[in-house]
Amino acid sequence: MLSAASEGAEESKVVGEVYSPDELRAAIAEFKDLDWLRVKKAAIHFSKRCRCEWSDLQNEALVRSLDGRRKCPRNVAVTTFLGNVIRSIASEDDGTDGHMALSDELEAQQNSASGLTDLTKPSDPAASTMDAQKMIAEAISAFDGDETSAMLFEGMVDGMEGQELREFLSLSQKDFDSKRRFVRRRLNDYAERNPHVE
Amino acid sequence: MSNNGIKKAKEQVVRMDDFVMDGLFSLSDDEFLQEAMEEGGDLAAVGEAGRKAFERAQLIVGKRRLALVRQEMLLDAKKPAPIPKRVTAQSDMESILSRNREAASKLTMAARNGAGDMQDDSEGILADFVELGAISRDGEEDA
Repeated sequence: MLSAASEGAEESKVVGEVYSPDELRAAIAEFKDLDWLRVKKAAIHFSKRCRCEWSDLQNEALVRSLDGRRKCPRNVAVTTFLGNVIRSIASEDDGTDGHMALSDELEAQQNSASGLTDLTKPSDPAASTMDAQKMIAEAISAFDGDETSAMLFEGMVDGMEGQELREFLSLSQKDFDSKRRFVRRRLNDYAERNPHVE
Repeated sequence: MSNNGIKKAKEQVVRMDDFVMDGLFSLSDDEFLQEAMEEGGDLAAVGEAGRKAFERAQLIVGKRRLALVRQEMLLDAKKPAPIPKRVTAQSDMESILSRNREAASKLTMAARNGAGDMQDDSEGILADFVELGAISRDGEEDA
């Protein structure tokens, strides 16, 4: 998906695999309200990891993008890029488990068509900054006892693929899509209602 | 928790994050707008806050760049002036001055507030010409 902003910047046909800071600035200046909402929700979700305000996390991502420290590949939507920068910054405090820094990992993965992270990639070092099990338990609590949603979520985070998971839950495609949407929205809502991790 | 247990839990968190990111950035504008409307938040206020954050970020980046430029200017000012090869530079300077006798006279007088002879001013005039680019720096000696 390309936002209108990144499409506009792509039309400039400037040589190079990444946007220059000026091009990035122009693209972000064209963000619609909806683009800002996507970025805000990402900042809210990941602010729990670095125990900071979502607005500070968003601001840091903007600063690092505008000053050229983070570079946005031309084949990635600028909104997605900012979301990845937010995720990357939230993971920075930890480097103790021997994994590649998430920032490097994400930048490498942004060369993929979707620009989103690959589900098969190794673990996120950010997770080691807090009790990963506690985070999963918190997420499950967001489904308020809805067993199907909890099972869908658990199957998904255990790496089950869509079709396999749908059959495991004995859901029609329509019901599965609907439940998946419910799970995703509950996760977003939970992050917004509980911005800080104790 | 065992190492395997910790690793598994971390992988679960990564997959959860991937799922959230996918939902936030892969949904079409229409789908995302519909969800935003259902949530009932003030979308315009979110956009306004985002644009203000963007302006603040630009200001921060601008201030940092300005501070860097100032720092570089200070460092440049502390660098010693290049010393041109005396024979070549002296010859170049005399050549320029011989072609501009009137200017040479004014320059000398100005440099010395109207007193003394030109030989005393040659160092300063030479430095001025190098600074102005009238004399090539190609023949610079090591400082």
